[in-house]
Amino acid sequence: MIFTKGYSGAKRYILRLPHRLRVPMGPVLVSGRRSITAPAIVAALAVVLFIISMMASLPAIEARSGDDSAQQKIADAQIARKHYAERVARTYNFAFGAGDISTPGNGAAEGNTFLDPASFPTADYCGHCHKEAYHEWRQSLHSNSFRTPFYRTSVNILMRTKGIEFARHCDSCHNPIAVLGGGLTQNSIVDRKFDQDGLTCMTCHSVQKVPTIRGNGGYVMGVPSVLVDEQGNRIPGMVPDAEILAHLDRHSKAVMQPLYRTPEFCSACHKANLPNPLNGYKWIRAFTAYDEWQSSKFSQRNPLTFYKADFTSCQGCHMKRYAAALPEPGAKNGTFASHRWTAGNTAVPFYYGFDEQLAKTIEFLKTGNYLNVDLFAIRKANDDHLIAPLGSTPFSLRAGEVIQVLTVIQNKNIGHSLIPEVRDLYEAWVEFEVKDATGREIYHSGFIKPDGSLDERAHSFTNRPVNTDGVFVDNHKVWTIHSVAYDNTVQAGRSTLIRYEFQIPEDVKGPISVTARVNYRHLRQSYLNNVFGEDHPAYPIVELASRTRSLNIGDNPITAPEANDNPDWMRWNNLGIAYLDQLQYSDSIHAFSQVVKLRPDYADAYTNIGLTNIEWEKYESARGGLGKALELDPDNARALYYLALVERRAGHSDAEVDDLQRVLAQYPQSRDVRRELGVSYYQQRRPKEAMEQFEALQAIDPDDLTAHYNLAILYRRMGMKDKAKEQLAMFVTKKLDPAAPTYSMDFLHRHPEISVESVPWHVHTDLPHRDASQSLPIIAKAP
Amino acid sequence: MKRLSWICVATFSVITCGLLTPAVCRAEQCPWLNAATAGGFLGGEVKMSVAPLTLRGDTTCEFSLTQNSVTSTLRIAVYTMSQPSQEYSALVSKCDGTKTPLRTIGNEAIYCAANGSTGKEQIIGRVRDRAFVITVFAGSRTKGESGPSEEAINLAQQVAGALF
Repeated sequence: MIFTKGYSGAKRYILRLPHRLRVPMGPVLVSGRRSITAPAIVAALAVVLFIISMMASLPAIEARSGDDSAQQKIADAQIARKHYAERVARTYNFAFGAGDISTPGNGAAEGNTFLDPASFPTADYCGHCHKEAYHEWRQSLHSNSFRTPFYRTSVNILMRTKGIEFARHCDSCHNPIAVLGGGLTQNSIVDRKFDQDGLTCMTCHSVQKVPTIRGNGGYVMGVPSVLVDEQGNRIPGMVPDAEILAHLDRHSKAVMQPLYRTPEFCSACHKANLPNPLNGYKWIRAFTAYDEWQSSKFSQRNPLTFYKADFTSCQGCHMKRYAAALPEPGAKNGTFASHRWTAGNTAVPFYYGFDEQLAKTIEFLKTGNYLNVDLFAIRKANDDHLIAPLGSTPFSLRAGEVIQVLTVIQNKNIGHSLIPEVRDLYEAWVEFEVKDATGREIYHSGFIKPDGSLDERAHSFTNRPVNTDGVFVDNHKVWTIHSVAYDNTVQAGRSTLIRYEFQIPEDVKGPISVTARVNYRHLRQSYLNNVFGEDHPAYPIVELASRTRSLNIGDNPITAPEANDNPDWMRWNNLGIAYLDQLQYSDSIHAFSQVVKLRPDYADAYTNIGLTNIEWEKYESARGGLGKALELDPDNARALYYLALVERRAGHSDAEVDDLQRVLAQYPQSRDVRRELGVSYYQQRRPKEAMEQFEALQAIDPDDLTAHYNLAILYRRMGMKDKAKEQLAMFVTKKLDPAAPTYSMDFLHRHPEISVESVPWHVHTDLPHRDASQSLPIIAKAP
Repeated sequence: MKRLSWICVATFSVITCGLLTPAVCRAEQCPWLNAATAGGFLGGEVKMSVAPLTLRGDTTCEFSLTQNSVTSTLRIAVYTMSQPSQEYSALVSKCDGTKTPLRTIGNEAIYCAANGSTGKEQIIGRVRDRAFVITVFAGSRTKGESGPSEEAINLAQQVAGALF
């Protein structure tokens, strides 16, 4: 409308122009008795020149007229917003400080006051042209971020027990319009019809900044706009389609920003903490898929990953481009970045009957080569010899033998942990099944019980946050969490080792088949029961990856690998990584040594031996492996980093700093290097340089404890008392409460099945406990 | 002495209101939907009345809007069921019009299109052991041709959402 006014004004101007330009002048041509006079000629020339000059300047006049209208609309919107904000503020519960509209969340709007929900163009409006985007978005998690039973069940408890104002923490991400619109207050005057659209188009496409990577909705929302004027000023509200079509470049400027393509954009919500205003306790990390990505090989910001890969952002996996089926002006060369954000949520499409989204989600989960399952080795009872790697080593089995199968699960190509974010709600686990040739079950772990719940002794990638009663916080009442009794995951690029032990029956009919699967269910059964009661349909269980091996009773020859099997050197490497994480350093070095044998040219194999020695606090032993790695690859950042730690231990401070600086030159966004270099400078009494490193570290990770601690000291020494106080306060609230683990102990003593799982070295078995004199130590069968 | 008695009565009233019968004394708010959202649905500023909460936290809210001497109403009644399967079935059976299952509302829900030209529409649904009945007397509001309007579904999702 704004430009319509402008255009019509300009048209009127054009029509009026000749009339306005009437000037008293004489005839210019001889006509009858009249003759041409000199003044007449001059006047005529002047008129012609004037008309030409006016014609030349018409576009500018037109634009100015449009801009005037745009300015008027911006001014009108500002006044309307002010009135709206005043009206909301009259009854708004400013529980967390005057003018503070979003605490305990971090959502913010430009101008620091309420945004009228009506100022957000609706998804229907966008979908009028962007049909493919709308279709995908409608089925996505983002559009259903608020209304789903799964979310409402949890947030309702918060609202009922603590008050609706506390829901600003969750809704800064789940329903930003409600937060910024001032709807989360007692006696709300806000029409909540927008709830159904959750994160609508114009929530993401109005974000102007993600100023710090703090999460909890760490965005700054601009006044929603789908068009900018010629000067780039955002014109608030909706405009007719014709205006957008006439100025596609300006539309694009209003709704697209380079920021939207960065992982930092996603960090605004895919990173969360539980702050003191929410829990009345202290800052607790909730989850951070963003940091996990940053630590992964896909970010290329971390020199310490076990493997390397091309740079891939969050969008690279979750917004893959593909041919648009419906009309989509946002498509480029026929492909469009998916607005389905396929990831792990199968529950929402299942509930709403979004079959297309469900199918694509399952396809996404199964086809990404994200995980590798390796039935790596067998160890027989009373025999320390490891038969490994399976498939590449001949061996024999006999009926009646007790064997242990070492299963390695590698998080191969996920850019974050397995499973990320809320591990108290999602459920991934290993199902391990052994059957003989008749189909008789010999051993089964990780099965689903008749009531839909998971075998409690399964090896699961879940966690158990607990409250002050030592009870699992099963309803996602995150504000009651005081400790985490158990948190099992496989971080990006790492591997885990799981041991399963069973006895081959005397009357077995060979061959036996051994299968390990990683299954996934969204959500855990107990939470589904909380949401719906127990009379709900079974929610989908998706097999993410699996591997089966057939074992003969008798001789087992070497077999060919399957298509998805890792090469043997990598299988040993993954075993070494798993041992390292399970604190079994000797076994880890043995595994990495096998990698050296198979790939003597692979520098990381030597670095891995060095790293294991460092973890083992055998610093001088570490030097050999790291030196060999640097011989093969003199600029190897990973080896240099670990060598710096060895140099520090040896008191070679200059060498330490030199190594770290060389790593920093290659990886300026490495949090580890910034941190260690800060420490090195601190120890060298170079406070200014140390401060620079810790400040740079905070720009990467604003929650780093080492940075808070050291900056508190350094600022104080530099006389910057306020900043020192601020850093100290953050250190105190973010560091682990030393009293908290007692609640974990309360939980663990009541849950031996989890207690067993929480020990790095444990075995899954149905066999009775055997005493320690036997060569295979066995953890007791859980009750 | 008389003054003291009044103070005692007042104190007793406050305690009673605060602790024993909050439903009676609480400021009138509908727990399932706010008046602004109801107003958005009916098309203007609405009058709201809320029945006292029962001990189980149930209540009925009614919103009404009169425009051009035509009155539209929206009533939301919530009941906690002791025997959900039976009581819910009984509630659904009260629908004397055409029943259409609605998948995305609560645990389960149906749309009940009244026979005749009463202008009445109902969505009956359940969240765990709580049933809700949303009744709309359309007034000037147009109702869906063969099922509930998108607005009515959204409204029912709001109500069910509040009950989860």
